[in-house]
Amino acid sequence: MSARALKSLLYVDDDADIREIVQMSLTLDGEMTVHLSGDGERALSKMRDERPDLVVLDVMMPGMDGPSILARMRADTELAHIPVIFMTAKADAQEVARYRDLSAIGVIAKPFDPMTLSSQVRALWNSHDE
Amino acid sequence: MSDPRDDKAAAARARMAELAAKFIERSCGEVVMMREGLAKAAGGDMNALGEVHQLAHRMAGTGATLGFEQLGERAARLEYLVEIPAPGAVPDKSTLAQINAALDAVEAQLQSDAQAGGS
Repeated sequence: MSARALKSLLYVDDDADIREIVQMSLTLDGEMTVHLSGDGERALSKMRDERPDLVVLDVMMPGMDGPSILARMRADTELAHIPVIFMTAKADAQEVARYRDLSAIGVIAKPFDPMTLSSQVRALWNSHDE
Repeated sequence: MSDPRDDKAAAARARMAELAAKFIERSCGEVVMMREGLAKAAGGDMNALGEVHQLAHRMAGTGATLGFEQLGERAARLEYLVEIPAPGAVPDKSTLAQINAALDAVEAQLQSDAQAGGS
């Protein structure tokens, strides 16, 4: 179980509309800072600058996809410790197991409910081991 | 006094409605792009099929999140069919016909959603 409160996260998705919806959803309670990025390289740079508690990655993106970003994070001593959640339309049991094997703390299925996304993210954050 | 959280939720819903209207408008243009992409793919341009896949994937995810469930399902079906040809392979006539039919279904749903005035 995570003892720390979740205060900031970085959400990475190539779709600008989804980025905006996620930011609105996660900031409704006013207790979290949400950083955004539209591609993998910028996301890695922003992680170094902002040091988010958590990174949430869309799986399918042009260029560097979510699993590739996670691999780059785990190979980087500055970023290796940051927990990751994947968001994907293909969230069947096999895929979820694959993402957990890659060290993701959880998977959120797309489409998501904007009104309950924050509680989904917090539940995964609270259940992960630090 | 109103609860600031309720105010924020109301503002978020209003913004979602704006995004939904823009999404429908943009998607109509993307259907045209996908038709052009399929024509190019039929002629052997496999990059074009990749672009169709990307557009269908985004339409499926964004559409469903914005409340267009049926459009999301139809776009997901299109995305699935576009994934059938092996990478680098030209889709056969049967697959291409199925893909075009799926795109027709997407377009019909888009028109229906546009007439309904958003989500």
